[in-house]
Amino acid sequence: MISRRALLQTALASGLISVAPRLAVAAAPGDQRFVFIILRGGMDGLDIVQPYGDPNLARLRPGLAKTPDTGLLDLDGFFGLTPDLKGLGELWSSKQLAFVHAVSPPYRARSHFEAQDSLENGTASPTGAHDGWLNRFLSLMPAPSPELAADLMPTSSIVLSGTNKVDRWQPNTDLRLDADIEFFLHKLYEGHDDFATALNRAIISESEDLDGPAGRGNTVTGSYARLAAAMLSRHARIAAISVNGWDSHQNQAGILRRPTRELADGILELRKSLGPLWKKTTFVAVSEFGRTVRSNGTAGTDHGTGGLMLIGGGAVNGGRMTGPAWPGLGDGRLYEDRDLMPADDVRRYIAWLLMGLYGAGRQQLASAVFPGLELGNDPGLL
Amino acid sequence: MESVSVFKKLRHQLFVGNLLADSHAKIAQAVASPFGFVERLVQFWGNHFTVSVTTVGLVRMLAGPFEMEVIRPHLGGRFADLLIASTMHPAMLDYLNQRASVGPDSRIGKRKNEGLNGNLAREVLELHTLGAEGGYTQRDVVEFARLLTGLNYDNNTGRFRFRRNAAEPGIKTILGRTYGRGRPGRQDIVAALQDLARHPATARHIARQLCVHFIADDPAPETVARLATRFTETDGNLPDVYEALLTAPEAVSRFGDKRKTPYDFLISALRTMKVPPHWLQPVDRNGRQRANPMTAGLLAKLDQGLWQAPSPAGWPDLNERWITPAGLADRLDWIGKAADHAAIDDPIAFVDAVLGSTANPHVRGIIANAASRRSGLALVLASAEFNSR
Repeated sequence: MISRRALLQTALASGLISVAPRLAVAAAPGDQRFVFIILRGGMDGLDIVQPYGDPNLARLRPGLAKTPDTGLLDLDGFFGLTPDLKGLGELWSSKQLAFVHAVSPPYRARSHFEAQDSLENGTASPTGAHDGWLNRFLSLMPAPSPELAADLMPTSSIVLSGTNKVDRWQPNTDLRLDADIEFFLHKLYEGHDDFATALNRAIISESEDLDGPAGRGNTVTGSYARLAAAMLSRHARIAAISVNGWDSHQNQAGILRRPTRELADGILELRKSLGPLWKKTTFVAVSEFGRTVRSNGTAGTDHGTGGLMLIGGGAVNGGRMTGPAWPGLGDGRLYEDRDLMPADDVRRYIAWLLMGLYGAGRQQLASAVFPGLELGNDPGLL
Repeated sequence: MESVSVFKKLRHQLFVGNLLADSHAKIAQAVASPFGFVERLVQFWGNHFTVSVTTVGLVRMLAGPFEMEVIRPHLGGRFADLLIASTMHPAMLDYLNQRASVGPDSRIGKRKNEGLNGNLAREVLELHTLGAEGGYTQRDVVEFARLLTGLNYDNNTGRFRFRRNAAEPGIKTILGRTYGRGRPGRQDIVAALQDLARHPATARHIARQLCVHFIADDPAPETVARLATRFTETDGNLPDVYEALLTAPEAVSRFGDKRKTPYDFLISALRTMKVPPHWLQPVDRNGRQRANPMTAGLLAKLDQGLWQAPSPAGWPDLNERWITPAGLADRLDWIGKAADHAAIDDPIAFVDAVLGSTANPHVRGIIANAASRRSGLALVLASAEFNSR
């Protein structure tokens, strides 16, 4: 067995890589990179960015509510970032990270699967579309090609599924072949263009997985982020990743330690691996729903509605809280008397980003990508 | 504590153990079966009538039984019977939320202020029968959803049950035909499904699906018409339709145009090799089912986990979906590991047995020159010829 690095050298030496068909760089629609991160399980936005200035927080969440004195990173005198995500503080202070609070996708029941399907298909209903909004968005690109978008989810996801071809990768895809088999395979695939192209691109991607500018990420998400960065450094402009494990019904403080670490590591790994491209990069991290405002009897929270969205990257005008006016946590202010009010639609923010980054048309965004969405005013995140 | 651990054990057995057991049984049957075409039809119809364990609910336990109770017994009969069996099976009722659908004017609907869920109605029309271009309207979907109220199953037995208290009374009009003149019951739903099965749009839709699955991504219109005509002439008698499919000129002239799905690849590769029995029925030291990365695990890795289609539309039946860089890399990775376990004597005899006349002299020459028997075996399984049909 030989390593993948050696495999690449073998392929280069045999002159096979140089004939690999490539997407012409000119065909790439713009230079901007967009990374969509799905936070699966229902992230408790009120724990991640805590409105410590709202007096109801401590009353409704005994044991969970913190203040800057007990560890929050103060953001603006009203909101504070959970100590679990302090690693992202540097992004905040360099104005490359913004938080949008009290938002949610338009789906309103509280089932994980249905809510995730809705978030991914871009409609208010889990059955509103069979394909994903990010795949439909690819149709608006001048030259959709499978190299344009990379789906890095561990399992089948909807957000990048659809009629446009998309590359799906996992960091643990490990192509180890004897050098002679590798050589014979190329001969075997002569005249079978789909196999030959796939093989050539597999070898290129595999080698980048190893040769990327950064070392291995410490977490699963870190390794996905590194792979995403490798693909975004080439032809890909769009990537989708997921971070699981947010369903904190009990012992929330303990449960959230792992996904927050994954998320922070993923974002920082992305920045590190993208190098100079980071300044052309925008990421959005969003969950299917938020959680109940009141903590439950097992030091956790249950499925809710309004939640938190993270928008960041070198291309983003951040360092501030944005989004709807804070709906408050007092009596009569909660959605169905239990959840943070969903005061705005997460799709609106994504749509404005896509418009600003890629020049997508307002009309098409509100029909083909997010059917029926009211775009409203520009939240000004770029 | 005791009851908690018993509950956890039971839940594990129900949701993980059963699914693993069903997965391994399915693979073992497909590998051992002398009836390869039947196994391919199981895949085709299982995908046409997708139930997916990616949602919560009883469907997680019933996806395997759905295949045994709906697909296998009916794929050699009339399409209408297959459709009726599918539409009334607890797995489908659960997967497409039919249990949540209550007639607004039914006894329960009036008492609890609950309403229709049109999911099953829409998917039966769009995916299972007429097709998206089948000429039905949103009004038809709603009327059909009204008609389907009452379809349910018993929580204790998991068997079908008509829940009359939830059934919407009154007449329903679907594609110009009326149903439900008397007391609501299963018979009106059966009648509507039979009418849908006979609809010309259904004949075209099923004919095209079969051609795309078995012949090519872009079958000729005359081939589709040939199957649709046979479908209509025989009132949807499926063996007659299969005969029209297999004897279509295009089935011969375009042989090799379809790429194998991950499932087809796995099953056909396992059929060529003498694999150790523990691959097909892997159990741990305590006799419990365990995951096997070389069988069901490969399918999950290749994005076609058993009964895990991403939506009710099932897996896309198109070549480009499966021969991707990552997909090919994972196939090659698997082949390398499998070749370590499977012994063959003579690569050329293996080529003859596995590829037969599909291997041209170019391919034979490459394999004959392989550096080792292991390489020869790997190259056969990696070849474009083996991965096509």
